[in-house]
Amino acid sequence: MRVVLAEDVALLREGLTRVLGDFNHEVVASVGSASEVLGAVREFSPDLLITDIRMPPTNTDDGLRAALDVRAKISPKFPVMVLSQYIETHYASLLLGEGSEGVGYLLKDRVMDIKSFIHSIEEVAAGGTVIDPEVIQSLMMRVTDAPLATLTAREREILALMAQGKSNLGIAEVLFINESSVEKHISNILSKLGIVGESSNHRRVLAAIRYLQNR
Amino acid sequence: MKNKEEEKQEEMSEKKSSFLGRRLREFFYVFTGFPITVAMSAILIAIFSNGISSVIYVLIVAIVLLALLASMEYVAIFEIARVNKMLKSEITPITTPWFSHPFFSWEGARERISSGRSWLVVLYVFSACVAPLLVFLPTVAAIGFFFVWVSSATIFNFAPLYRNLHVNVHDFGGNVSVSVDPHSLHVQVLGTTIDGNPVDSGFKWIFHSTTTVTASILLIAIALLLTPVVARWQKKLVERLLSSQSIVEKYRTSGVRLKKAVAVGTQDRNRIEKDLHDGVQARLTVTGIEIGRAQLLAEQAEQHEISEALAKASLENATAMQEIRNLVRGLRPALLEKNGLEAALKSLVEKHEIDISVEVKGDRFDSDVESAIYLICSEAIMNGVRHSHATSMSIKIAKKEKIISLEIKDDGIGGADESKGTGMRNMHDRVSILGGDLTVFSPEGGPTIIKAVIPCE
Repeated sequence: MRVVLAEDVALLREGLTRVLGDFNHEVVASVGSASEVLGAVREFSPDLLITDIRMPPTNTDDGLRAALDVRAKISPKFPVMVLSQYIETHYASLLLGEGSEGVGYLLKDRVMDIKSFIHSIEEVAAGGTVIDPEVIQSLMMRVTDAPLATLTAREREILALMAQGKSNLGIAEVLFINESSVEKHISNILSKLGIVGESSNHRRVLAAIRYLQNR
Repeated sequence: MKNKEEEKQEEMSEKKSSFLGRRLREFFYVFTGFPITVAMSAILIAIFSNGISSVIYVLIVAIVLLALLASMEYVAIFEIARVNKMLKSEITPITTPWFSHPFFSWEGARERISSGRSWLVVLYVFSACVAPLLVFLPTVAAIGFFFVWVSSATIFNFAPLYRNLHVNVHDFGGNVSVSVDPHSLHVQVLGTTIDGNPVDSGFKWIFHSTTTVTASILLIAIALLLTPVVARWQKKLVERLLSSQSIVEKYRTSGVRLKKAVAVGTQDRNRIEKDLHDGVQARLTVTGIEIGRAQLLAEQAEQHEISEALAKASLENATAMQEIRNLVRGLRPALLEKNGLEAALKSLVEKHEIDISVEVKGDRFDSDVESAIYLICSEAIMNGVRHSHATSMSIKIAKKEKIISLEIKDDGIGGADESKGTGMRNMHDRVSILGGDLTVFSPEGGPTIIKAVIPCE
């Protein structure tokens, strides 16, 4: 896979390049400023853009803007993996607002779990969606916002556990209920959030996306 | 058993032997008892009647004094509003209530008596009535003179019968005579008192029309000349004694320097944030990445012990990253800078498990003001969660004219003490350095309400 890497701290740029190299992904260009991103993507037409959010020139959300710019100007499904020191649901909403295909948004800490990070970027490059569990956890806390408000307390609890990546059995163990009632709850949650006919692995991500896009 | 029987026998013997003695003792006891108890009653009545009345008197004085001190915040609000309305000035209004404890409680009393601001308002009330006299008196005198001139002219022209008016005051033994002509008015008191002493005191007023008009005009002119000076003086009094700006005045020699101080604080925070982001945070991330790579290598080589040790290192590293993140977060929230208060606060409340509503009316404010409000909210939320045990909070921000008002409410247990801890002091400082005012209302049992106003262009 050919990757354009945007990260202003040289140390991190090198670290990420090493990790990608370990898995035979080539960093074809690495840039240190958000204003260079679009040019680099145009020039090298990579399979994936990995960008930090906080980057020069303003050191705020420039990387995110650059990623949105790439998707707006080059292709609406251009795969972007956005990394950040902080998770903001606001940014997640912006990223997913124009479509969730080929979008990744992860806390920088996730890179440390290298296998799953590589898995995530490969999924994004293939048009999938990867959203940091923290985004979902944040959403769970804001129970007053619709449509999560339509969920019962128990359903919210289960959704939060789903967001943490727990299996049905795991959820059942935490809540001291049997697995079949967990399944029942989950199907209620998904129908309330309007998520039907998807593979179970993808459901919790979709639940979050559905919510973020409606915000 | 034995003891009881013995006691009984003793009692019986005593009863028999001292029947007469007992009666005698009882008689003397009762006889002397009367004067003694009467005397004691008298003393008690005396003490009670005087004592109670004096205690009641002291209590009433204390309560009246307390009530006066407690009402001073309304005087301050009224006077600031009056200056702002009538002079179209822009003194930042103050936030109330000033007192958290109930009126009828020791803490409440202590709070009100020891409130420096209440005493400042008392000082204001006394000093504020001096200068207006310079305008008020000449104006009233001028109006009086003018009225007398008009009425005497009216009487002369339209009510000739009353040109000379004599009023006999029989009890007084004399009479008052009033005579009117178009140019003057004579009021004279003549006669004798009951004792036969003649009275012709200086009750002889002459109001020449020209003199009267001239005097009126002169007095009005004096009043008008003094008005701007007095108005400025009064406004200064309000600023110095009533508004919270007085606190700032002490520290500032010029508004520019103060702005600079705030700006320097912001710059420092930004610099620290950048240093941490580019330095420690980046290094920790890279360390984490390298640990992760080593872990993969150990797994491939099936070195499980090394892999486990590395997993521990990774966990510690992740904790360090989280700690740094929490520290850096508030320094320079990117959302605040780019998207403003509403977005930043909504993001902030998402990080907390309690239910917090955010309502922001108005677009972007001055960045120093935004930053101060953000940090105050952050502090208030932390206090609400940690100390007040609140389950829900609300944050309301609105801009009206050139004043931004902030209100943070929680449903916690209250009892926040401003004198304890640096958090509350920081809140106060952040607001007062911007020329605003902040009050914390937090009675025992809750709720806690923090109100602030900050002037903003």
